[in-house]
Amino acid sequence: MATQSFLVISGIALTLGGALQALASPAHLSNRDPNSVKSNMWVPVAITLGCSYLFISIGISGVYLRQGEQTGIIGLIGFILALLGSLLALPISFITAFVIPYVAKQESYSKTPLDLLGAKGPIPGIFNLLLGYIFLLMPGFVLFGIATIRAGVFPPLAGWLVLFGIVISQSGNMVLKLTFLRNVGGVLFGLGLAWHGVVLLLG
Amino acid sequence: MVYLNLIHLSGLALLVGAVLWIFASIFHPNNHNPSALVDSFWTRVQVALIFFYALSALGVVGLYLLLGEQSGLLGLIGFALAILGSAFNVAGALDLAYVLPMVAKQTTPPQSMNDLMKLDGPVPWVLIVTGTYLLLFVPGYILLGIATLTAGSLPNLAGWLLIVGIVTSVIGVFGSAIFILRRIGGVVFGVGLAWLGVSLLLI
Repeated sequence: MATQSFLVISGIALTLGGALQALASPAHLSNRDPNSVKSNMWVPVAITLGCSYLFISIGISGVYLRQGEQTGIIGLIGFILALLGSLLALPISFITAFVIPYVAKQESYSKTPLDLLGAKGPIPGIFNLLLGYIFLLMPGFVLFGIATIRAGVFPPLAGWLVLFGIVISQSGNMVLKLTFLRNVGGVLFGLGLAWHGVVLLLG
Repeated sequence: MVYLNLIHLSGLALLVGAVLWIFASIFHPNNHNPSALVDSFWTRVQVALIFFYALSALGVVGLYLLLGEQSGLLGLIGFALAILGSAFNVAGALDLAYVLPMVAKQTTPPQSMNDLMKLDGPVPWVLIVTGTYLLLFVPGYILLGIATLTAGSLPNLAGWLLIVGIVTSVIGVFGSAIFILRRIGGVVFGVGLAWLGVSLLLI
């Protein structure tokens, strides 16, 4: 009974989280463009992504509970890394929404968001957490996707979407001219997670 | 098997989180003191709390899985509030750890944390995130404490420690002269959490 209601809660959370990720990703602005912070879309997109990671961090426990038996150690490691990565992505999104614009206003010339949060920026401690987020989120969801594909409990295509989505979006985050990959990958990643959520909801 | 894995994982998360929470409670500088934000312990304590909240988000999953059936709606609401509160406060603690000390250095004369987060202060948005501690985290854990008492499948005294500890600790936040209650209540709450963590590990 508790397990069933937990799976329903997880399903709702993951569907919402995935949908918000897919909706906000096309509007995500480049972290390497000094003008991004000035855009009207900067804050709403960051808040939406923060809420998306909040729901995702709640929802993926249900996926592990549902397919953990079949996925073994890969599923377990993927779940732990993805959970911690999502929980860390949540504050990073709120920092992006509120702290970066605040810090940007105090700078004498325009800097990129990455420069503002970087090791040589005004808040160097946050850079370490950014690194932690990158090293947890991507490997976590890559393993999460592989686990789904191998287990056969959820549609394998949903696993492929999560796997490709996170790899493409994180690659897009790293190169200025490839920002569109962040947008495309984010949509695929969100759709894959929402699909997992719907399957959880439908039992 | 997966069900047990998740409960053991949650137990471990609660236990480790509780140790971090107790450390943070003992060494937490007084919020009302303007020099708290430049205290050498401030950032360390908040970083410990970042990890505590992340671990707590995982820990409450196991608590709910175990208590859910017997605790009904009360347990479900407690679980939802506690997991949302934990996730939001990862962001809150991150702001307290890195953003407030940076802002504090720019203000003369020195202002306390509470002054900086006022609606007319320099960073009012931090209050939105940290406010979820009172709105979600505290009521969530009070309800989980009550659910522990009513369910009877975990030690009753641990449930009492959660309730008494979190209430005492919150009272302590509201006055400089009674801040000692924040520390004492924090330790009591942490011992309750650790006890529940060990109980989950032994299942």
